[in-house]
Amino acid sequence: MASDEAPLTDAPKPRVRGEGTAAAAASRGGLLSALRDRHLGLVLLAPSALTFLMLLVFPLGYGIYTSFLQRHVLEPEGIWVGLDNYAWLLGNADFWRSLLISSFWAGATVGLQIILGTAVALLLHQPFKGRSVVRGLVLFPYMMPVVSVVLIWMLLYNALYGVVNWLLVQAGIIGTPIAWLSQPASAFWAVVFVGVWKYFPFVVVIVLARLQVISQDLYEAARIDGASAWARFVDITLPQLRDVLLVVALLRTIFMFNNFEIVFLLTGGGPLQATMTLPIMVYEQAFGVYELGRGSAIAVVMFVILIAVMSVYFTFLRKEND
Amino acid sequence: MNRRDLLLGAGALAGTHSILGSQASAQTPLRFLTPETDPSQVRVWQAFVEQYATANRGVSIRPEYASWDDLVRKVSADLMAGSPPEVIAGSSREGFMATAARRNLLVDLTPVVEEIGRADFHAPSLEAWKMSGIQAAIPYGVQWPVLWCRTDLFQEAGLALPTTWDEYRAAAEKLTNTQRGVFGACFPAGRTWNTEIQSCIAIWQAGGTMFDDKLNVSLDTPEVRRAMTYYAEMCRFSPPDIGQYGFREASAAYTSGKSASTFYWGRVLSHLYQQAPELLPKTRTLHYPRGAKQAVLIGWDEFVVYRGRNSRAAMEYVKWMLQPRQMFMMMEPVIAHVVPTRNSVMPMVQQHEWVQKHPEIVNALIQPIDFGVSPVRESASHPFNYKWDAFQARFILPDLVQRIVLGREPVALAVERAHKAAVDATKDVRQ
Repeated sequence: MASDEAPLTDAPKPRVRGEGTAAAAASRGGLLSALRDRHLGLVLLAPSALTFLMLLVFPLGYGIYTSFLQRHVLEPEGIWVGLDNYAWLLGNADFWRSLLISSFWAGATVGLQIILGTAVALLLHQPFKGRSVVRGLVLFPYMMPVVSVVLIWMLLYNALYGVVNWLLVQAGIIGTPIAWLSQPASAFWAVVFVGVWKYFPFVVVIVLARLQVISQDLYEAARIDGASAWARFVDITLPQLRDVLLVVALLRTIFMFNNFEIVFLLTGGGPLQATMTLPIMVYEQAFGVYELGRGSAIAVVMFVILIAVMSVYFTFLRKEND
Repeated sequence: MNRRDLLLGAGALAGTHSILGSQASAQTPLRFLTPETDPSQVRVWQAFVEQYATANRGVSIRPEYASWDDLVRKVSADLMAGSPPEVIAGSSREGFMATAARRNLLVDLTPVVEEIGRADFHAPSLEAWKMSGIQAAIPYGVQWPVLWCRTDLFQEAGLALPTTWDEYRAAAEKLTNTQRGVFGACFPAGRTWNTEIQSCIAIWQAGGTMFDDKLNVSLDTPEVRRAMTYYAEMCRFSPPDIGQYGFREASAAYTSGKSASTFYWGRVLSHLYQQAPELLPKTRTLHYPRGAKQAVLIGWDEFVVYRGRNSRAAMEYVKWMLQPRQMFMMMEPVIAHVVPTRNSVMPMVQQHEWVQKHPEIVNALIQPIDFGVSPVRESASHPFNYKWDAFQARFILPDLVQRIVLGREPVALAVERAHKAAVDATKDVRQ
């Protein structure tokens, strides 16, 4: 008996004349369009990927490769020496001293930048007349070119004519002027001071931004409960700033550990290698003593140290989030 | 056209434009690097660039400036990058030049010398820059440092100008008045080239050498210990910040009135004219107070051309700068700083107003001397010292000075350590 219901089998529908061509064309157009979309995405990503490879991956890989060579800087190629450069490094007292100095340099500058930057940010968070002008002026050291900063501080530190010595003598803190950059004992702290002065505004900006989103209700509640200013700072402000300060500390540590220009321009790593940080040692080995392989080995060790620091930080952060 | 096609088209256009743009320039670019950066000298280099560009439209010269102490490292980095400056003017160290010549990185400038005329050049100066069989550089000036003295301060203290180490030590002590901020001497103790030069001179004057005539390190000797003891004593009568002193600071110590005497080359004359003309009538120069013997370091300012795509154009520019008029223009702002190596230029120098007016300053700087010593050939019996570059690269002498002066290390121990460091630095160096 004939039925009006749809057939139970999946027999193909009879094609209408012209229907297949249009459908095929529509199908092909969709495929082409999909392919074009995918390719367009790749094409637009290609410059960034290429830049990333050229400026990051290739130099890093080539630097690691060079660290296994003995290569004079004026030679086009080097001789494969395996781990000899690393063995030299580990047995070299100058390397360990520079590592210690670099660690102190990074630790001292970052610690003081955070303390000073947070203190200034707290001050700038308070309402007072001319606050916006002061907020702008505080950024001044960060905006100045490093060379200008160094030249100014060399004049300020001058043993006979420098303002620093004059002020300290006038205040009775010292009896005779100090040759700040010429004595091993004072040169390190003189350089640290410049590093702190130059980069503390970075901390101010980040901390100030965070302070402005802390709910005032927390402080109100604490005041009502009779909490002192110090208690409010320790129990409200610091916990709220903690994550931001950790990020700032990480970023600043990486930057200051790698910082070359301030120390190099002020003291060149001297006097008597009192400020010989690892970046300066890399420069001296590679371009002063022409030992490119050894310079690269030091740079690779620096890279590994910073990776380790970052790993500790991210592990700590993950635990906190968990 | 839809947005996708527009983006693709823009990308293709940008790529094509950048490729074509890089090929668009028809000028030959030349990098000209120099550590001679006195403002008056920089004006001369700029004038050269403009004059040469006017006469040679196909060449564009880009002047670059570096510090003396960092020049070699900058050039090393550029060589590594494969793009060294085409021309360098001044302060190329003989040791580094010998290394570069051995590695075929320099252009032979013999054709330039022959085109100008070899007879007009000071032959020993040309010979000093012949390395690995080529004319590795053409010196345009020869120079040596002298002792600059404040005659008014010496007279006030009842002192004659010193001619021996003992006289200088006694005078420096008497002239030092820390209350007035005046120091009797100025012995640099920075980790710098100037410290190396002054300590070399002290060692030679004591009768010592850095290397013996078989080119073995010879630092651990009584003569070197005597030289370093003298150097350390004189540092006590020098400004307190000598731990940073290089060239500029040593000159500034004198022109600022901080030091009653300093060792320097002729540039101080131009600095006095610019900064402290009132000191000119109170200034005199004399040769270094002698130790066991008389000696001073002889050096050159020279043109070097590094191998590259534009070597021919660079040689033409060097040839142009070596013309008498241009050579005199180079020397005029710092007259008496160098003695021109072209005989035809010397009469122009001698006619200069400053030279005529200040013979008591200029004579020691331009009258020929027979006690000049080069560190790469410490005596007539020394061969060319191919190890000097490695010795110099490790700051052996500046570190020695700093260990004694800043670190208060006993002289004997510091000299022994310096000797070991020098042996270690040079043991693998082959000719």
